[in-house]
Amino acid sequence: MIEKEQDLLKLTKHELLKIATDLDVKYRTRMAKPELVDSIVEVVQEKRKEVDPKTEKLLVDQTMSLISEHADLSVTKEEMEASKYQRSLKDEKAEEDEVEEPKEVEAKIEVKKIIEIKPSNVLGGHVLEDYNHLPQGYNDNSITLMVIDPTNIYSYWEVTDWRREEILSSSNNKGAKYETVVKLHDVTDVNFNGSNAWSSKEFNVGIAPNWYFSVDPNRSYCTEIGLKLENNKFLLIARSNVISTPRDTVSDFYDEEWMMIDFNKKPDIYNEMYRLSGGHVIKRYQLNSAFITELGVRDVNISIPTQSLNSESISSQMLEYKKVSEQDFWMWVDTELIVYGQVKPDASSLTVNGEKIKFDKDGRFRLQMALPNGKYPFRVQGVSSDGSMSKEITPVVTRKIEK
Amino acid sequence: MEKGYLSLVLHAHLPFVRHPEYEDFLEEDWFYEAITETYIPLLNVFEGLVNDGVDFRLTMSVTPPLAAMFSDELLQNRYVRHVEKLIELSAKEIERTKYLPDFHDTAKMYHARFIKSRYVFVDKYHKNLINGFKRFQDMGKLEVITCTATHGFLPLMENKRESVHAQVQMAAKDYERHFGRGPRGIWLAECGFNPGDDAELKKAGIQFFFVDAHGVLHGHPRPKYGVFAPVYTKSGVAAFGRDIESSKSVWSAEEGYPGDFRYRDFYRDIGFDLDFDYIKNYIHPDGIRKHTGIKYYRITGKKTDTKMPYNHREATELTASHAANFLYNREKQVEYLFDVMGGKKPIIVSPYDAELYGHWWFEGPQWLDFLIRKIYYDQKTIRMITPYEYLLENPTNQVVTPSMSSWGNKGYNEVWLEGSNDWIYRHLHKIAQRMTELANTYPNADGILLRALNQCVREVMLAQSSDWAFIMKTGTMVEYSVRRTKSHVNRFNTLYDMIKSNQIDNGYLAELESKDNIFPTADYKLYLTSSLVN
Repeated sequence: MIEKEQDLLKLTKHELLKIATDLDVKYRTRMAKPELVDSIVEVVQEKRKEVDPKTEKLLVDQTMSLISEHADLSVTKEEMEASKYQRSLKDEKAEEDEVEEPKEVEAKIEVKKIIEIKPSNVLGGHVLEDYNHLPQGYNDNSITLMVIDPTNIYSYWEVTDWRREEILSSSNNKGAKYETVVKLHDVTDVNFNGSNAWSSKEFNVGIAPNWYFSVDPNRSYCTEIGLKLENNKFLLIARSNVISTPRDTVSDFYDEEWMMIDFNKKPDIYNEMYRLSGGHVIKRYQLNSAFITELGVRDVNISIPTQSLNSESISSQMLEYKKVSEQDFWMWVDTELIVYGQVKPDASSLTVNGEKIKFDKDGRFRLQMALPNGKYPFRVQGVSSDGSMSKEITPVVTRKIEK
Repeated sequence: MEKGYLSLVLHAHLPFVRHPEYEDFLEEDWFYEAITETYIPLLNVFEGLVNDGVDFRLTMSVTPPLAAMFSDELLQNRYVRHVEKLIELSAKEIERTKYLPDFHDTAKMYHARFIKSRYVFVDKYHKNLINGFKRFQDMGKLEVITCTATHGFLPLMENKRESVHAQVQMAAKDYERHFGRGPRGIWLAECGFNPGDDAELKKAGIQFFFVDAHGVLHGHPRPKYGVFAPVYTKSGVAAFGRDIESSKSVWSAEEGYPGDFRYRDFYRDIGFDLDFDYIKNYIHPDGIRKHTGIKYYRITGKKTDTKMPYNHREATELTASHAANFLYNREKQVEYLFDVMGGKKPIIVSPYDAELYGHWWFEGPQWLDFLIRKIYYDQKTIRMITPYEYLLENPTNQVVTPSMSSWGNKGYNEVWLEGSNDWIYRHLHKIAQRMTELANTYPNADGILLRALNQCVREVMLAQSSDWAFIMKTGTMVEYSVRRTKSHVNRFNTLYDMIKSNQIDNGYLAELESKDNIFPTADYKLYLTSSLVN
């Protein structure tokens, strides 16, 4: 909102009245334009009255921490949020900070298909493979404006060839040379009529379908697309919606209005009416109260020496880390052991090192385990169905690493 | 008597991913992983607190897509299959790690967790976790709130008011179906607020919502207490601002608890690490390796490939220290604010993604458990509260219009509108406009036309999920999110053409209805221009 006197003077009376209404200026409808401007300025200043210095400081503190926060915080949040959607970030981490052009993204999709879903997986019924192409356009002549942040906005448009031709011939400029131009207007607090913007800028957009603009916070904007002829005449094709950029500082506007809402009353009447209308009939499931509790904290055994943690001692310093120099080569090797065999399928028991092992209907069994350094005997013992016969075999495996 | 309030808010959300046409679909794992690692552990924490007589208050959003997946039979049964596979794999892991003492205990821990997950899911909550959340809501411990219908990001549909209206109304309607009453509060997707949206919330009977700190701080006129008291918008809905300090201790890369090197590492997973023959039955049938949820290493350090084994007991002990630290800082914060605010009790609002707890920060639910117990037993400065209870106790608040804001990187709309995803909006806006056009053209549809129009609603809303733009920006699983966006736009446009030419293909419509089956009560009349708030 405009609050400066010189700016206010440029507004129409109608526009001033709108502001005056928002500010609740008394006798506003009976004032002439200069009086109205004076009254608005007066009310605005009055509202910047003395405020409680303590709470003022609070506000400043919060704003400061807000600024310091934004750089650091959101990165983790984004990584975490992205983790919800990931199979593996490991492979893709490298791409993290790249800003990709839209065309590249589209191209990539064609080439790099990670999810190759084979037709054999399809469960029957015809699958809707309708994710390939989107309409190139909608045969529209329109322009739309969107806010990105306090100082950036985005506009996209569609203009058809037939509209270009039509507008040229209807203005008796058939066949004339032209450039496609987007005009960006600052229309803060005005009812834009095509010529009353605070300021306007022109962009020769060529064949681009969209554009990013740098703007100011807490202002309103509108874009127009049209054809600009060699004689500087502008033929309007479409005008966008009006958007307002958010402010990026604490408001200068002090005006404490307080509201009381009796939350006790209304919802209860609502709920009662709702209940009476048969609302609260909900399926009740029998809930089992038996419950296994979480693995408790027992005999906590800290195997790595830790700094003693008390409430005050956690600070960012404590969490500092040694930077491990970037490795450009790595390798790892591990070994696993498979013990397998077969026993007569009707055997009454099969044990390995005294533990019972399951075997399948052919009597086959298979154990797979990690194999660290050391010597491991496997005493495999089978007992026949009637218990009269048994057999024991003990392979011994040794594993060591030789450089 | 306490000097201030703490309001913890967990935002639980996943996009609607359900592919009946495939026996095994990788992206459905997002949901199964979150059940095992976040939703069930949280319910278990609540259960433990109730059993031990610890009073608590938490606010939690269950977004409409998440609620739809919780209550979907196909996904329920697929989760059971998923967790049974994990039980089998973790049993093999106990065997495999027999001679690896550093890993053996962890393997046993996973096995016990998976068995318990199955029990809680199947026997306790009858395969529908909404029963769990509803149960604690009915006890008065948990306030379940809703979210925009498909997690639609409102600031970027600002020029299509009907979309904002429909996203909010559909959410409220769907909540009522699941929870038996209207929602009191809403989590606006990504905290995305644009002045004027509050009027839509009011119309849906919603009493409060949340904005990021600068949404309140840059509000107009300036807010007297900053984020430490809610403000009313002109339409009379309360806006609660996020507290920065408390968020930082969890989110921050440098100071945040989850980054402690002794906590479990998220990335190292046996789905990637182990021998293919051993693991092949537990990854995607096409041989694509994926997270199994069995992870044996601690974070160890930044940028190191040599990870140390994870010690669950040590990590559990650490959560207790971190909970104590968090509480200590909140007490100090509240005491200071109470004095500055001249004896008015501040409210500290700390919102987090629910999936932070358990999925990303494995020990998060345990931290929460310790924190709540410490608040209950160890101090008198702070009381846990829900926004609704706060408003009952403090019905008078300042009138402020919060500024446009979100909790995304840099605080505005850039994450969802930039080079990688700006191309989607001309389509999203167009189908929203066409949806309104259809609603206005056929205000009294019935039969197959009614079905087609309601299916159009589902396609528009699914296309509007902010998740797709987010994924395109972060650069992982981009193909899937591009596919989903294009599919829903194309499905809508096909239906649109059929409706306009009066040739609705029943087979096609029926297939869409069974596939994109979110919102059984979808109602195209939400898009009528005449339904808008003036």
